[in-house]
Amino acid sequence: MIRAKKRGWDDILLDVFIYTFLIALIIVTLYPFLNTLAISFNEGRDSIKGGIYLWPREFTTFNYESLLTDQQIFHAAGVSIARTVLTTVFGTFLTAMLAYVISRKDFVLRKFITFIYVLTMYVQGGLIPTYFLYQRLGLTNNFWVYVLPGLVAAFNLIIVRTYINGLPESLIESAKIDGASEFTIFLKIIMPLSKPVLATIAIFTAVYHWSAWWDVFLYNSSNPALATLQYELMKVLATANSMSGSMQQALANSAQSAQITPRAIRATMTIIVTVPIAVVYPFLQRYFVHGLTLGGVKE
Amino acid sequence: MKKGLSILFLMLVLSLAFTAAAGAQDDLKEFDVFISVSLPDYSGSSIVGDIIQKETGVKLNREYLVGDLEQKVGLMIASQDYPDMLVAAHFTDKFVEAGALIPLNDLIEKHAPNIKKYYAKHLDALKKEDGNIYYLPQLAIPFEPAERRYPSVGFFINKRVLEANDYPFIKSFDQYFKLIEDYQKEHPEYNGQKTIGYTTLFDGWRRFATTNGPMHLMGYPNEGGFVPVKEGEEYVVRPYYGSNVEKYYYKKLNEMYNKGVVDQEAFVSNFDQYLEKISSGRVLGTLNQYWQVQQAQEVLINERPDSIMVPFPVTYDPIVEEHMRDKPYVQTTQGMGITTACEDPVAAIKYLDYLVSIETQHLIQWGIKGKHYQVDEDGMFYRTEEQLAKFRDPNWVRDVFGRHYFYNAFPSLTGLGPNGNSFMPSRQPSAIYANSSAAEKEVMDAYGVKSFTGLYNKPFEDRKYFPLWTITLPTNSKAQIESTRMTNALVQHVPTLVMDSTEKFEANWDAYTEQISGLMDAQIKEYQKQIDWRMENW
Amino acid sequence: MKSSGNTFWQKLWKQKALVLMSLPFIIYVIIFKYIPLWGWLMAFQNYWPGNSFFEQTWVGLENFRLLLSDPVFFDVLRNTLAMSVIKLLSGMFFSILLALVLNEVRFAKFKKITQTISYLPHFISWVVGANLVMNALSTNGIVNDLLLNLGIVDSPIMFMGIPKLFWWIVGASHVWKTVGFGAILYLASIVSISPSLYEAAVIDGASRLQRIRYITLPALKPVIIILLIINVGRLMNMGFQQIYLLSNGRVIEYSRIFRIFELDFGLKMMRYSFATAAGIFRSLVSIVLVFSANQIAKMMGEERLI
Repeated sequence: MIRAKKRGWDDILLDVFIYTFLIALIIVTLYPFLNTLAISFNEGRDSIKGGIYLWPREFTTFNYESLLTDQQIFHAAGVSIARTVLTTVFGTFLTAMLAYVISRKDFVLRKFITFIYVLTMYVQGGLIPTYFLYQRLGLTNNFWVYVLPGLVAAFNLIIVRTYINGLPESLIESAKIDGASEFTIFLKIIMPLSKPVLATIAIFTAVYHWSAWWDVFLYNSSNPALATLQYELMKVLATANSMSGSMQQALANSAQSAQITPRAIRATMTIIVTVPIAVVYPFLQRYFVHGLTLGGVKE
Repeated sequence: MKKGLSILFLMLVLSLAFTAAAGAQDDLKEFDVFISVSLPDYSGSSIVGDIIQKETGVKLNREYLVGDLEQKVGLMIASQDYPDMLVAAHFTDKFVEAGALIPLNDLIEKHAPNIKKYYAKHLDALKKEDGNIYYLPQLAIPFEPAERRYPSVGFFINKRVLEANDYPFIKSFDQYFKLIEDYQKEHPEYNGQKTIGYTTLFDGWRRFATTNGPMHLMGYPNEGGFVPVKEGEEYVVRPYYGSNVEKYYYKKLNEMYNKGVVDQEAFVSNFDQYLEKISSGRVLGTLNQYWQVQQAQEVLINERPDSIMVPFPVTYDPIVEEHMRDKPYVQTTQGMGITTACEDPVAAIKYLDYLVSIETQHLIQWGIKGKHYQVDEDGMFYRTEEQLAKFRDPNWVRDVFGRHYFYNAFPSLTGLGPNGNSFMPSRQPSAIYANSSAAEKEVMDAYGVKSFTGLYNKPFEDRKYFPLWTITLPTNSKAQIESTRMTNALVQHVPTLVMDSTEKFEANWDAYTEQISGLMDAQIKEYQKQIDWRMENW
Repeated sequence: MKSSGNTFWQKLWKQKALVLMSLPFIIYVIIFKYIPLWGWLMAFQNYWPGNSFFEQTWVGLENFRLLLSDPVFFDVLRNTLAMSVIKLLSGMFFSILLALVLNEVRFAKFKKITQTISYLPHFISWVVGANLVMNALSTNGIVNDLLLNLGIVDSPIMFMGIPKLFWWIVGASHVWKTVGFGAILYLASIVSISPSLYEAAVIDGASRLQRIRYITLPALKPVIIILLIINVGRLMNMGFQQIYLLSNGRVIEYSRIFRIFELDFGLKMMRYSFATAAGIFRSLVSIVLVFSANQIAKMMGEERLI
């Protein structure tokens, strides 16, 4: 650890700024979350009245029960875990591999590959053609539609490549002299050195896949066994919405009041989806927050 | 690392297992159904469902809507990946256009005596231009329509205002605002919060609550963006946007806004905030359809019964004869159809026919006799307090009883049955008043009515086409684009009309009318064409 | 020509290991990202999904004409670019600031917890987030309470009703939601800086600010530039959910953006062709922007995207 020997006024001032900034940040980012937590434990109809801040007014676990009792939700959580783990592990590895290839300044196809990947961030074929493609590939009504299309994302690729570009070239050179193959260099030298950035894109990928539901809706909605957690939760939310929405217009006078309200459901969903991430997060976090203990390499 | 790999392997095996289809029970006939309403998946068993499955030998695999319907519809049509039956709200006609649905005429004639009988009144309206019927709407009215406790739309006013003025009958908009303004002056606070004289909902698509104002002030029920005016025997489609009544309406709101009567934040609030304000009891008035106020009203009934909201058919001039209640109608522009993918359409129509028999409808809506409802000596259905209590729990009704899974979006019956029992228990004539809360009864008694609809005139008798809003404008038509531009113009101009200073009102009004003037011709033409068609063919 | 061709193939052969490693990726991207681009042809049709591709009516550039001639088109373009730029710059600025600040925190626990809390808003959907923002900014919300109590104003301000403020509310709420998640990228780069650099700086008597300025920031430069270039290309693609949910009729002239316009006149009416034309327009603008930015970076001798 580096510690200045004597603390000058500018040093103290800097600390004042740093901690004021961080405490203000904690307040504005933590409060909304605690508020959401309070609403998730508050009786739904009572929440309509507003005025709930950090603590529920009419405590209930009903919102969680109505979202979590269903057997299917646990199955869906399994699907979500499967897709998240598969995509994160394979996606990160493959992205790193291609990033290494296109970081090699002497590689003849470097520009071409970078170009065709970068372009995908800005051009999209649209809903219907994509659906046709997946249909032809047999990916509709299929678990693998969650994994395959998103394995290598251009954004992550460029981020990793930029990072690898910053690694000392001498490492690769010396490995080559030792007769290491390209794949070995990637596996034995680049991968370990890129842990911080790989942890970063792993988090990006995992968070995305953990909360994904749109592709379930588009490609797998007719097979309940392929529903993801977020999709199941969206289902409950859609139900709550339509109970107070236009779909039920004709039935409005007959519908009894819904005890689960859209607002309570949304709050509860937020918590259900966030908590598992928050539990797993520290394992990845250590790669980019623990800091210098890992030993930096950039010079 | 090894542990990671083994977990990974486990995941792989698991995920492969998911792709394997669940085994089907072979003795049941199965149909896949896509339903454009949102519900949790059916558990496969319920009180109602078990009886129906036993009697029909049919099992339905339902897919309910989770995301955007328009995208789902586009993909289904493009890929021609259809279930056996489907209902797609106002996009159902798109499936007809795409040739995805089979004509039902012969099937109904040969295999569906109940549909033929109970849908008889609606069959003409269900015929497309080729003379074929492609889908069956929900909530057919085979006999007489039933009363409701609340009218579908109203200028709501807080019970406290009514009480303070000895329950006056409110007819005009001026009178309505006078009552509110005076009461607000005397009672600037309620429960420690500032009283809000009048609020209005302008959030997203729900904003029609505000922009429909002039139509209702003219005494019309909700027709949509235009009103068909009776001229001789003809119904002529006329705009109310840009009309004198609309000018009067916004001018009044503008005046009241500047006096502090209209909620200063109405136009920057969302639906949640709107409900929050009303359920606090401090709002004195609002114009809306009841189902948009219902959640807040229920809070009021339970917690602040002195402040429940009471609907009135207010018009711009007491001379106007109002017909603000909806004429009972069946939404014949959407319903459940059988697709070309269905291998046994006869079995499918027989199943739907089974659903709309009077016995099945009683089972789905009332339950099992003696267990879920009683019958008195006149043959009238009623529920004991104990039975009622069960049906007050919406989750029980949905998951254990199972009503929603055979009712919502399925062909069904409503109104009064042949012996005077309402198909819908909440509209049983004897129940409307009897099951009202004390506060509701107090108001009804004060006006000598048995339901709040009693405060209204009878709806229009004729008007076969009703309502205009069920007409969909053709895709890619000029009318369709005009309509979206019109909406955008309203979103932009209405808040300014109300919120600017009163001196600027005339200039703002001119700017608004100038912008919308060119956005109505194609719409009017299209609506007129379809109204004429309906009048001739329905 | 010929000789350069030869060297190209020779080089390719020499690098066959790298070629082999990248070939599956080339095939992959072509299948998943480029084959569906045939759908762009829809922009020149009146596409109706009930017909097969060859039965569609061709309308030439009609959809583009409709798009570019719409009376609100320039309003929409202005709002989109303005808000995107505000979001891009403020988002990056605060994420970098947070990363730098966290790096200066000496207590590991505090650092970890703060970092974890700061990314929580990422998981709060905009539907929930917009509600929180609107409640905080309403006339009886916490912001007005604060201003009133501090005596800065004497009557509450209706923040959501001030058209000119809308862009900044969007910018600020964007920062709130993304600052922590965005900082992760920069933290990863800071972590890899060799401690020896800092040690040398201390020996040279550099202050903490100087160390940030001369060591940390330069180490972040490549990733900052790359993200700038990538996101400049995304200016037109700004998500609509946040703006849609925060917007209201009072501020519509400042809140109408391209994606909402595209949705209203496209998919919501099942006008696939119009939606495709709008998508192509966005893509073209993106490509022009991203390559310009890349070129500028190249001229300045900085890290490049391609």
